[in-house]
Order: sequence, then C-alpha cells, then structure tokens
Amino acid sequence: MPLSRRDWIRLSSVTGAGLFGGQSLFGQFFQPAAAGPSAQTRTLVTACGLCDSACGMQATVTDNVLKFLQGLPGDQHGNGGICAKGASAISTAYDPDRLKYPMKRTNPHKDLTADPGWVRITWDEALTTISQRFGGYLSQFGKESLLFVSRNSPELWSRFMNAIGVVNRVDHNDVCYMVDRIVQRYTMGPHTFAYDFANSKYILLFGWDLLARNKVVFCHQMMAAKEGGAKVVSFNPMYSATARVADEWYPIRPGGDLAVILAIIQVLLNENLFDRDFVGNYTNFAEYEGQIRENFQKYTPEWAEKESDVPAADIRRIAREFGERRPAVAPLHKKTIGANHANATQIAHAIAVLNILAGTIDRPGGRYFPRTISIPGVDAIYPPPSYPSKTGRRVDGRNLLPLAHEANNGMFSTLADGMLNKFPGMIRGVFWQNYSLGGFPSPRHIAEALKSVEFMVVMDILPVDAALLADIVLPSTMFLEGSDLISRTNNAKSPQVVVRQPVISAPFETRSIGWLAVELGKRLAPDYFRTDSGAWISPSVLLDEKTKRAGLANSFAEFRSIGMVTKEQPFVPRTTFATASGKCQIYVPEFAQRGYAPLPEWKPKRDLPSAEYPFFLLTYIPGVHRRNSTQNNKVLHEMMPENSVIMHPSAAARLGLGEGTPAVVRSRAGQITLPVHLSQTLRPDCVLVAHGFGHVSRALTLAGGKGARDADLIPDQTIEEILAAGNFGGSGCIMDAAVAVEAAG
Amino acid sequence: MAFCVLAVFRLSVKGESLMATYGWLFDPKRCIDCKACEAACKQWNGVETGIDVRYRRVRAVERGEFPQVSVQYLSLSCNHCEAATCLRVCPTKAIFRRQDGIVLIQEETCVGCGLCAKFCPYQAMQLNWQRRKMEKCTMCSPRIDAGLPPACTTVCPTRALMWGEWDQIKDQGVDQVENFSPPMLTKPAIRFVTTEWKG
Amino acid sequence: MMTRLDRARWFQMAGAGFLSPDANVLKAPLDSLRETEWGEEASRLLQWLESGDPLDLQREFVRLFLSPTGAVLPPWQSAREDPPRLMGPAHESATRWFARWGVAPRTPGEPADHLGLLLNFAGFLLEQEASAEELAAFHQDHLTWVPAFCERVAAEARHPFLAHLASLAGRLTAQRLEETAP
Ligand code: SF4
Ligand code: SF4
Ligand code: SF4
Ligand code: SF4
Repeated sequence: MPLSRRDWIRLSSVTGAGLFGGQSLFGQFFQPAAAGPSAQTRTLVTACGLCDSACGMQATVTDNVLKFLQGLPGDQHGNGGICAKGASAISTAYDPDRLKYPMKRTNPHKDLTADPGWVRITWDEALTTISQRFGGYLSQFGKESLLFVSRNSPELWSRFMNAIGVVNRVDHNDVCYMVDRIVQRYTMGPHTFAYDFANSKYILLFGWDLLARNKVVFCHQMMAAKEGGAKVVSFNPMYSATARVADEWYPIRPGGDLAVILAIIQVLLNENLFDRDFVGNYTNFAEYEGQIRENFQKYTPEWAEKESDVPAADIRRIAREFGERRPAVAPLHKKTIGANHANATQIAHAIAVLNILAGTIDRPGGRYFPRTISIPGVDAIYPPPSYPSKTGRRVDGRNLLPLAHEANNGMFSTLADGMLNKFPGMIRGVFWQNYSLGGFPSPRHIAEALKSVEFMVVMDILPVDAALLADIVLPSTMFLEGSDLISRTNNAKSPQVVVRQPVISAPFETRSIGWLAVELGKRLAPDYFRTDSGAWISPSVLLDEKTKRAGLANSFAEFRSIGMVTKEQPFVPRTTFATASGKCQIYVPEFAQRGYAPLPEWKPKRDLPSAEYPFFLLTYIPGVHRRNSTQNNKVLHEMMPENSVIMHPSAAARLGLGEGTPAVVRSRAGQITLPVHLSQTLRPDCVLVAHGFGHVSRALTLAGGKGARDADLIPDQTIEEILAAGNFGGSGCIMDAAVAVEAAG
Repeated sequence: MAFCVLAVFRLSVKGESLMATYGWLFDPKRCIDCKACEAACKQWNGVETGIDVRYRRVRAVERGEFPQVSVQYLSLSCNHCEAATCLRVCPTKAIFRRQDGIVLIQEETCVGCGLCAKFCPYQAMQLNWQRRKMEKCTMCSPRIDAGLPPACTTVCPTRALMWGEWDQIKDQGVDQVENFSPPMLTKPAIRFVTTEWKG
Repeated sequence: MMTRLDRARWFQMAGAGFLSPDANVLKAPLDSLRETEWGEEASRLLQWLESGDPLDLQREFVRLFLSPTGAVLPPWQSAREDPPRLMGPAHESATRWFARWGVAPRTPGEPADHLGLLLNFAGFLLEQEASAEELAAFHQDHLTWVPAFCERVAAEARHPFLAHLASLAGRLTAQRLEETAP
C-alpha cells in the first residue's frame, strides 16, 4: 500500500510527539523508524551449514524474511545444486519450536518427564551464573569436574576450552570418522575426504553410500565419474541409490568388508598388480616388503568368501580390475567405513593400503589432499598466553587409547560408563551443545548419567531431549544467521572459499557459540580474550582480520558481497607425505611401537547373530534428514515423519510379520517397537532401521514421540571392552548390534 | 468425442505456434531420490505441509527380487499436457492453458469437485482439503514470467531434472518409461533420457 | 461505551502484559486505568500482579508462551496458522503496517506478529485517530484470531493475572477496532 499524503503528515506528528517518552507504554515497545514501505528483494550468497558438503547457496530475502534457497553455480561443493535438507532449511529457521531466550530451571527435580519450571533470564544473568558455577567447580574440584559435550569448533570456542583447561571435552567422532583420522595420519598425512572421482576409472565402495545420504559434493562427482566411464563396484548389505549407479552390487555380509579388502590386497600383492612406480618411490613398501607380503598371504579370496558371502572368483576378478584399470580408488567416509563396527580401524587401515597400492594418493583419480587458501586462525592473529595444562582424569577413559587421545576426538560410547560407574560424582558441571541423546549408543544410560550432575547448560537451536535435563538453556543461532569463511575441502583440487553470512538476522535473543566463547572467556579467562591493545577480542573484527590476511578482500563486509573466491591453479601431485617417514606408510611403525598390529589384520565385528538375536542390525541415515537434527523440519517431516523396521519379505513371513505390522526389535542393549516395512533391497539376515527418530521431547511438536531410536538397540561400551577387542582406534560401534524381531503385543 | 476435442485443440495450438512452450526432460538414471526438487517446490510456492499436497513428488518403485533387485526413481509434477484432460473435464472451466502452454487453475472458479484429478493420468491434481480447492504444479509461472527457471530444477544436484523450451526437448529421449502412464491420451510435455552410462 | 483514548490505553496495557508481565512496567499504567470504565478490572489485575511470588507469574508466562521444552500457546500470529511457523505472511504484513506508520519494535529479534506487539500497535492506531477504514483493515489483518486465542490462554493459564489479562484482551478484540466511539 503506498503512503498517502495524510500518512506522511501523521508520521511527522508521530515522531514529533512524546509518544516514545518513558511514560508511554507504546514507546516502551516501539521506536521511531524510517517510514515507508521497504519490501526489497535481495539475493545473498552463503554456504549451507547442515553437513560437510557446505554447499554454496543463493538466498532470496525480502525484507529480512528468507524466501528461497538454491545452489550456487561455480561452487565446487554444491556445483549449483543443494539437497532437500538445505532447500528446507528455511523451515528450521522459522520453526516455532526454536529456542528463543535464555532460560533457567526452578524445579530442582530432574527427569525427562518433569516440568523444569523455566523462567526467562537475561543473557547477562545466564553468563554470570554459568561462569560462577563453572569457575567454582574449577577451583574447588579441578579441571576434571567439567564435561563439555561439544565439537572442537569454532576456533573461538576451542580457544575458550583451552583457556580454562577443559580436560573432558567429548564429541561424537568415535561414532563417526575418528578411526579414519587416526589411520590416515599414520598412513598418508592429514585427514581428507577428497576424491578425484571425475578422473577415476575404477571405484570400489565399501559401505560408502553417499548418494543415498545426498551429500551433494559427492553426488555430482560420482555422476562425473559415471559420465567419464568409470566402473563402480558397491559392497553393501542393502541396495540403495549408490548401489543403483554401480555396475556391480554385492550384498555383502555385515562386517565382511574387511575380509574382502584384505583378499583384494592379497591378490594385488601376489600378482604384482599394484602401481610399482608409486609404491616404490613414495611408500615404505620396500622397507617392510617381507612383513607386508606375509601379513596378507593368508587372506585368500576363498577365505574371504566365507566371511563375506562375496564369491571368491568375483573378489579375484575385481582385484585384478582394480589393479589394471587405473587410476583406481576406494573412498571411505565417516561412519560408513564398511560400517562403524568394532573392526572399523582395521577397515580404515586396509582401505588406506588399497589406495596406496593403487598409487593414487594425491594423484589424479585418487584420494588427494585439498588445495586451500590458508586462512590464519585466531591463535595466529591474537597469540594467546600459554594455555594451562589439562591435568585431571578423563571420564571416558580415552587416555587408555593413546591414538584416540592424540586425535582429540570421542568418546560417546564410553561416556555413560565413565560417569555412572568409573568416576561417579566426578563430573559436576556439563556444557552440552548441539547434540541429541539419540546420537549416543544406549541413550538411556547417558540420560541417567546427566541426571547425576549438579549443573548443566544446554545450547541448541531446538528443544532437544537434553534440554529437559538442563539447568540453563541457551538459544543458538543457525547457519543462516552466522558468519564464516568456508574453505572447500571435499572437492578442492584448486582452492576456493565461499562466504557464510547472515542472510537473516538472529531471531529473538539467539546467539552464536563464537559469541558465547568470548563472553564466557571474558569472565573466566580474561587474559586469553584480549588483543594486544587490551581490547576484548571481537568475533567480527577477527573475521575482518582473517579475510584480509587470507587475501580474500579488505574486510568481511566486502567479501560478503563478493561471495566466493576461486584460485585456479594446476594440480601438482605431492612427492612427500606428512608422516614420520615422509612416505605413505603401508606398514605403520608407530602402531607397532604401541603394541598394535602395524598392518591390517582380520577381526570380526563385535555383535554377531546368535540363536537369541538372529539378525544383523543395519542402521542408516536417510538422505532427507540430517542425522537427528531435522526431524522437526515441517518439509522434511512430511517427506519422512518416522522410521520403520525394514525386513526382507521372506524373513518377515517366517515371523508372521507383514507390511505395517508392529514389531518389537530387541538387542542385548534394549528394545524398540516399530511397524514393519518389507523390501527386496536387503539381505534376509538383516534388519534395517533409520537413524534420527524417536525424540523424547514433546517440545519438538512434529518429531516428538515419532518413530523410535535405533540407538536404543546399540550397546554402549566400557573402555576395557574396547581394549580387549583390539579396537585401538576406539570405534564407538554405533552400527554394531544383533537383534531379534517378533510381533508386538 | 474425445478425439474431436483433441483435434480442435491441436488447431488452436497451431494458431499460437509463435509463442514458445516449455517442458521437462528427466533422466531417471541420474536421479538419487534426494527430493531436493520437492523441497524447493514447497519453499518457493509456499505449499502447505501436513496435508500431503505435493506439486512435485519423487516416487521410488522397487522391482525384482533380492539380490536381482533394482529401484526406479521418478520425479514427476504436472506435465502441462498439450491435450490436458483435466482442462477438458472441469465442469466450471476453472482450468486454462496459457499461450506458453502452462496449464493453470483459476482459483476463484475452482469448486474443488476433484473431477480433474480423476482424469489426470499423472496424479498431478491434488485436493487441498483445507481450502477445498484443487492445486498442482504451476511450472512456477511467476518465475518464468520473470525469466527464471522453475524452482525445482534450480536445485537438482545431479541434473536428473531438466526444464526448457519444448522445441529443444521434444526430440530428445523417449516419451514413455515404466510406471509412467501412456502419453497418447494427454500429450504430456515431458521426455525421458534412457541412454545408459557410458563405459 | 469506553472512549477511544481509554480503549487505546487498554490495548497498550494488554499488549505490554503479553510482552512483559512485570510490575515495573505495568503498575503505573494499570493505576491510571483505574479511572476508566473497566476500572475494577484494572484494580484486580494490579492486585494479582503484586500479590504472591512474582516468580510464579514469570514461570507461568514462560510455560504458556516461551518454554524451551514446549510452550503451550506460542503467541505469534504465524504460529497460530496451520501448520504453525514463524515469520509467515502475518509477520510481513505487520512489518508493513509498522513501517507505514513510521515505527518499529524496540526488540529487533521479536517477530512483528507477536500478540503483544499487535495489541500495542492497535492501541497506537486508536490513539493516533487512524481512519475507520484503516482500523477495519488492521483488525481484519491482525486481530481476528485473537479472541479465540485468548479464550484458550484464559482456560490454560494457571495464574489469575494471565488468565484475566487474556480474557480482557479477548473482550477488547471481540469488538471491531473501527467500532470504537469517537
Ligand atoms: S548436501 Fe545438503 S545438507 Fe549438505 S551442505 Fe549441501 S545442501 Fe547442505
Ligand atoms: S499432468 Fe494432469 S494436471 Fe497436468 S496438464 Fe496433464 S492432465 Fe492436467
Ligand atoms: S515447476 Fe514450480 S510448481 Fe512445478 S513442481 Fe517445479 S517448483 Fe513446483
Ligand atoms: S532433485 Fe534431482 S536427483 Fe533429487 S530427487 Fe529431484 S530429480 Fe532426483
């Protein structure tokens, strides 16, 4: 509606009058503003923050309201596309269930079903209370008394944890890709998920299922591989969108991936089908040739067939093809390394050996190290005083797994045992950020453990289950409201940086974790949060500084309008590798020194079917959901509101189950009830359950109480069990369970 | 009778042949069932959730028996058929075809009787029972008028779903795949790429 | 019938009550409303505001509208739509209304279609002697949902101040804005 002349006259009188004085109730809630209609549509570049594809996006925004998200042409990760999760992120930003203001509990009785008696508090009160409580625990009970269940990023947050000396920071990486990080570090150098599929001629997939996960950065590269004529072979107990583009699919027995990989290596070695030039010049093969050959000799295709149900003749043929059709590669990604089983460390190592023998480490068509523009970190820009030592006991026993400890990741799977049995009462204060109870094996144990702590802070975007146990709840911004510089990593033969910028302003009193780091830092470790001039570190000034020093633009504001910077450069393969020997290490001497197997050897998965639990349990993350964090998004919820227990019709028929029949699935850890869904796409000895459902909190209006938690079927672990199993990478075994199924009721 | 209407209709299309029309080109082998197209459609068009109205819908159809199993993915919307049956059967004449071939529903005239849905072979017409109106894909006509491609095609990460001027598309691929109703009746503006991956 | 200006003050008080049920904010305005036609209601609200543990009122306010573990009745117009959301067309429309009158909420993070802001702004329109057409349009755009919503709040509320505030707001909005005596 255009402004009439009368409106203009009225406006001048409004602003002139005493309306906005202290007396007026109107003036307490409204202020004068530039008058007139301002509906203006803008397109802003940003980067998705839901998964590590971090796809570039163009956001259409009208008057600070986000209308549409689409891909960003020229972006190496998204390649102009996004997935359903990214496209629906608007509905999470505008989810009425979002956490809005800092709150504190007034009912001391903690239970997932009791009313916490929340009252709203100011950020100032929240920050003061948190620093007093955490500060008190630190001085009275030492650094070991705090537990931070949170990622090691952003770096301001990491600086804060270092500054107060948090001993017990726990993250999900043991149920994700920690074993691969450890193995890569000792076999080839820094961790990478970059694969040059477009130039590969032969691609072996062990559990790698990223087309079904819809991680766009991998999807378009796999398409490019297929267009380029690559042959793709998929080993997976279930047929999925990934198996669908494969030239061959083997419904492998769960846990059998390791056997097949070992046998392929055996054939490559016996028939000398590896890349002699690469292996001779850039690996430690020559030094350990005897041990290496001997180690793999026993793993014949015939033996592997018995462990995997993949015919020996096929294994042998595939090995030969892999050796001959160069360049060849076997990617792995996160917990789909075969699967997150007890033998995941060995699988990661065996796959590393496979890629090294293929001679494609940092070579066209292989696994390579991303080329990036170096962006200085906060500690380079504002060098901190030396950090305090992290003295104290590790509640999850990670110190007994030196390689996991060094990787500084984990351990979800042993946390409950540590808190409840090993060190009861040691943890007094908890900071819990962006994690769901359903991400832990045996979530009930974690909930039990959390009830025992004195003071718990939960920061999130949505009312996750853990918020029900919190003393203070802090509302978090989401990626659409945040700022960052995002380097391309998973498709980065040339460096590229994309901006992440607030396409909408932070709603209510939501704040970012970086902001919180500085605010708590000022109160608990002020020396670490000042610049040379004595001013407090400011996240926005820091970002300006990074942008400048990385040569992206003169300021972050300027880079916001540029959006993306790409530096075309030729791909020069590495000739030295960032391991102790400077070479790719097939045989890992550092493993041997610690008493672990220096070469991958056969280990079965942890839980195998038995008379009591006759099925393998398989779990998967559906492509339309981001782990356990998007089930309340109305668009994604409509696509997939709940999960089911997926079975082969013949197995279901034997148990008297049909499509839609409610069934109880039981493991040694617990049980869940779900309707049966019949499918020909998986092995009859497997049962498949999607991850991410079964949120307890009814505050998630759409997701609360829908479906069931796969994690209730997964046993958590003790550190002793991990050690006894030779699981030296500390796999959290989040996919390792055997189950029984029966009709419910 | 039906044949007759079809013939007249053809003529009128001929009369307007200067105006470009649009259509879909879908490559089933590239589709990964990610449903980004569905999500983008919901967001751009503000289609309500919770009542199962989807202008675009990705269907997964399993065939064969383990282990000789395969799955077909089809992302389908309204095909803005050249001989749209929905349009012909509507008792209130609420459905019309623009010069550029886009088939639209005039909301004020639609009485929500659902007859069009019964005669659409592609389940494109859906009843919004809250508003008692029929709804379907508009081919994002406001975007097209502004020179933008439809929302769903802008996000597709594998380029399985493509859109363009029908003249460029109509001779590509084939007009029929399994689980897609025969095109003879309505002449849908969609073609399918069925060539295999090279190699 | 209540005068236009009195009605405006009641609207603003009700709006403030849904934004910040705090004696510091509401005491003086309620005191002055005791002189109006609903003077008794003002006294009662004052009494409930000041008696008992102030924490009870805060707790109940959060439980109803803002709870981080499940608010009973989120008070945004967009959140009353089906399916509920934030920042929907109602927010955009309210933003346009505010902009046309040269004002903006002081709390930038608060969506413009919060019940409290809408009521407060309705009071402002009355106070500013907006034309009958404009009052009718604002009522149509932003107040038709309020009586039913307030009825639910009144039924749900476990604190007399909030229950009574809601029924008063319901009564205020049950009569159309433009039908206010000049
Ligand atoms: S793949 Fe999807 S969720 Fe991941 S970054 Fe891209 S758009 Fe976001
Ligand atoms: S697909 Fe169905 S709704 Fe669309 S034009 Fe054809 S007949 Fe009509
Ligand atoms: S063209 Fe537009 S309306 Fe039609 S399916 Fe695509 S996004 Fe939806
Ligand atoms: S966006 Fe493309 S790949 Fe994804 S479901 Fe739709 S058509 Fe298929």
